[in-house]
Amino acid sequence: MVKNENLIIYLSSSLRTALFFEKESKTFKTHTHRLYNIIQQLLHEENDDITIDINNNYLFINNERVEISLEIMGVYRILVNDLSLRGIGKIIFRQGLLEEELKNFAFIVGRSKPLYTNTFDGIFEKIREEGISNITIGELEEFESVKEAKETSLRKEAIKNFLNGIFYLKESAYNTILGTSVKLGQAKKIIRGFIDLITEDEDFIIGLTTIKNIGSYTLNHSVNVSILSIAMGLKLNLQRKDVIELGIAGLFHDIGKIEIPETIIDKPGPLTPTEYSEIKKHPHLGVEKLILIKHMQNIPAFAIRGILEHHIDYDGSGYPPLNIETPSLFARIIRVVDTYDAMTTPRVYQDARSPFEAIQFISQNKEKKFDPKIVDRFIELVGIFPPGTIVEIDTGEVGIVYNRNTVILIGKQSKKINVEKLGRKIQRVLTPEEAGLDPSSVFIALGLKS
Amino acid sequence: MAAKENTKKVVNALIKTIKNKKLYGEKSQAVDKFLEESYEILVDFLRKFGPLSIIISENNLIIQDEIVYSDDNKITSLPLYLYRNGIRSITFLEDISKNELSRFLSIISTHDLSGESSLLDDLWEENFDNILYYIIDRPLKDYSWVLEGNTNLTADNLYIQPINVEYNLDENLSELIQKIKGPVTTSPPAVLNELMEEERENSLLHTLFSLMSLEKKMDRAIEIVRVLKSYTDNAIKEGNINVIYKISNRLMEENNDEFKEYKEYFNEIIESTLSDEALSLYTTCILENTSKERTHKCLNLLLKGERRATPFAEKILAFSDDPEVLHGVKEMLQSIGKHHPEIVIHLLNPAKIKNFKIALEIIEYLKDPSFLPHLEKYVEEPKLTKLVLKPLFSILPREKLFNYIDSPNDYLRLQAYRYIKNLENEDEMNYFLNKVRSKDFYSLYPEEQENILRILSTMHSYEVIDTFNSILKKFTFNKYIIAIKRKLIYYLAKINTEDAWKTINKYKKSRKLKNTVREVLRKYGKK
Repeated sequence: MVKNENLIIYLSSSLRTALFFEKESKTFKTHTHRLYNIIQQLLHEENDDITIDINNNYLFINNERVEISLEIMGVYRILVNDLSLRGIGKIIFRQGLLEEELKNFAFIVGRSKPLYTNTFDGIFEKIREEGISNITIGELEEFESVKEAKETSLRKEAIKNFLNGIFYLKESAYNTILGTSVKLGQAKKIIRGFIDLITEDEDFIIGLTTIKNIGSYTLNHSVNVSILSIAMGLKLNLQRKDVIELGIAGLFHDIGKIEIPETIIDKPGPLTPTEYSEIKKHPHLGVEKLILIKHMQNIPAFAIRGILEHHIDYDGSGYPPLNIETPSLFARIIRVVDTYDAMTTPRVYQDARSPFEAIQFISQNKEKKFDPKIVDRFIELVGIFPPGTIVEIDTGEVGIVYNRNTVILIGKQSKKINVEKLGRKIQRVLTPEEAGLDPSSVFIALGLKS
Repeated sequence: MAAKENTKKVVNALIKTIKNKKLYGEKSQAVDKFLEESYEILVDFLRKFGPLSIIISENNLIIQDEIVYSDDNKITSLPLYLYRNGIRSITFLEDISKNELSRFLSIISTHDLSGESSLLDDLWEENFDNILYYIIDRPLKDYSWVLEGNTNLTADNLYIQPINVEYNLDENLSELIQKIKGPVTTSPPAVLNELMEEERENSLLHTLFSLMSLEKKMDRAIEIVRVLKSYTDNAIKEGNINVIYKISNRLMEENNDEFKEYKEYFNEIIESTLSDEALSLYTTCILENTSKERTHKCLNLLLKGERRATPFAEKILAFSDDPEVLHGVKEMLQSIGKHHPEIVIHLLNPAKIKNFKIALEIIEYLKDPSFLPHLEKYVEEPKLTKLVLKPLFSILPREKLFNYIDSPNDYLRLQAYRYIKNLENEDEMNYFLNKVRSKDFYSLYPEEQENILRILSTMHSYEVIDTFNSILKKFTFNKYIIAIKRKLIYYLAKINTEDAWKTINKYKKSRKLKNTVREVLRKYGKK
């Protein structure tokens, strides 16, 4: 019984560790080594293969339902969840299992993206490619329904988190104006939510940034910048506490604008030099606000530096005039994602550009305005045609890019079209006006699905 | 059964550590001891019985259906505190490190209740490798009504269409995309190195100074300096040497025209870094001597306390025997002593011999004649004479040195001779020539005689050569005098003038000296 529990604990911890550590890291190897020892003992005792099955959210080991103690109920649920969301319903460990095979297996499964229709096939294929002959996996029969249920709940959670971000910022802005405290606790909870959600369903969360001007431009834009910054932080393998700070920097990067009259912020025409010089004060006004608020005890140092320097170009130009060679990492990340989100948002003084155009602009200004490495990682993150890009595909239909592999079409059964293995060709990029379509409406509809 | 008995032991040890962390904070030695103990007990358990899972109920900690710890105090109960924060179970895995356990217990014991973050956020941020926990999180508010009306679509009429931008591109787009695409990476860029803890400290300082330079309104700028002050005070309270060191250095660097308006405020912060609390912190840090770099920083910080640092330096001298630490303290006192000789005089107390010796080394280094009277009073004390003479002679005026040559104290006299390396003028030469010519010369100690002749040999004068010759030609069987004569041959060779060689050559055939003469002739390449 204890061995079964330990099998669950270490199978779960090995899969989770694979997410954050490299295959050859000591931490990952330690967890898989423990797992290997437990499996070896079980193989020896049973003198037969060890089969793990998932059925109706329960785990079975060699056809016997695992009776789980309350102590490890949490780990049990995480493991069932992790396997189910990857479409894995069965794992067979055979006699003769090698430690290296187990390590490669845990890494492949742990690193695979959950909730994709082809995740299971991908894992299956990689196991074959790696020559893992003593572990076999079987597909979860109810995967499609599990996937759909999970996706729906994740998307609902994402919408909740997104809107909580906006409301939290609104409240913080009021507090800032009143000079009362900005509590980072709530911000951290929201950002933690985003991190967890991005880990499970990155595409949808990034897609949510197509929502613009809810509450006000600055509030909505700040949440978008926070989401995109967090996704970048995860892509760059930053430590969790640093990703949280990066998320905080994103949320508060424009907080200084509350000190600038709205007549300037939302001015329909070009700004006068005086007005522009007012706008240019917002990074340092924002940081001042944050650090001068009495109760902001543990000042997140990277975050405030990121906020202060987020309008400084990669070559040192821009504002405020700080005479620095290169802005800090957080500032360089926010510089890219801030530009991207601002360009794709309609404003009183300009139409929104398509995500594709924004990517083009950012790419064209590598080295001067933007850190080329950050730009490359950002393009890796959102793709050439980022989520929300409206495209016409070669069937003549108009769709909205959901992720780099799929577009969402409206009002037509996909299965009838999904005949070509390589997928459809993108013909051209459309503006929302041309398409008569607001890309965010697709993501909102998916998120509000009951 | 054995496992069950041991679980209580583990839980009690962990609770003891948590309570002590709460009571004494992170820096206490007692806490270190408890942590060490509880880690050993835990690891021993894990090694024997595998992962340890604990269930948390309102008032109890439960392992394998048995209550192993119970506390129903509504204020201090640990189970209740964990329960209220949503923690329902904790599992420790075998490979847990001491550092991991310490961080975990620190979060539990010192979690900030101000609302800056939840216990769950703090635990989650740490991303422990070998501690699993199950937490019930409070749900967020549902504001989805805000979005109603923002879409006329429903999820039911949205359909997924696979696309493939990599292999099936439209020609026009293809070219554009090739331009946009960056290199594909498998690992994150190296820029992440900057995210070191040190960089975090730099970031805050950098930002605060940037704000000071940007802010035109003095009252707001002063507010920023106040943040810096509270940051400094906090670092002192928490014992964060790195931060204090950086602030202290930065303030010294920035004490220039750009920040002249803030000078008064900067001085206030500098004062904080030199408060008794701060100096005491540096002292503990030096005595602990956990790493060279840290000790070096603490020595530097203590040094800035100048006179105020002296009692703390004395404490270090009293409690440390580490040669590196003592050397560091000596260098620090040397530096302070340059401007404050009184602190060196204060250390010159023979009752504390370690301090006394360091004071002497400092005096020898500083070469400040004002220390003379303070040293001279110990010259005649037999136990101290040897220690005092070297620093004393190093600061003694030349004329005073000659007084010691006439001292009736044999030891002082000999040491004074040794200290004279060469003659500086004819008066000095005549002084020594008179000694040689005196009838008492041969009753002096051989070592004294030898030193006198050595000193004389540094003056290349005919009178010296002539005096040496008068000794050489003296007929004697006294082996000491013969030995002196041989030395004189060497001294003459060192003088190395024509007259000197002429004198040497005179003794080519002397039975007692011919070998020595031959040797110097060979050595100096003379025929």
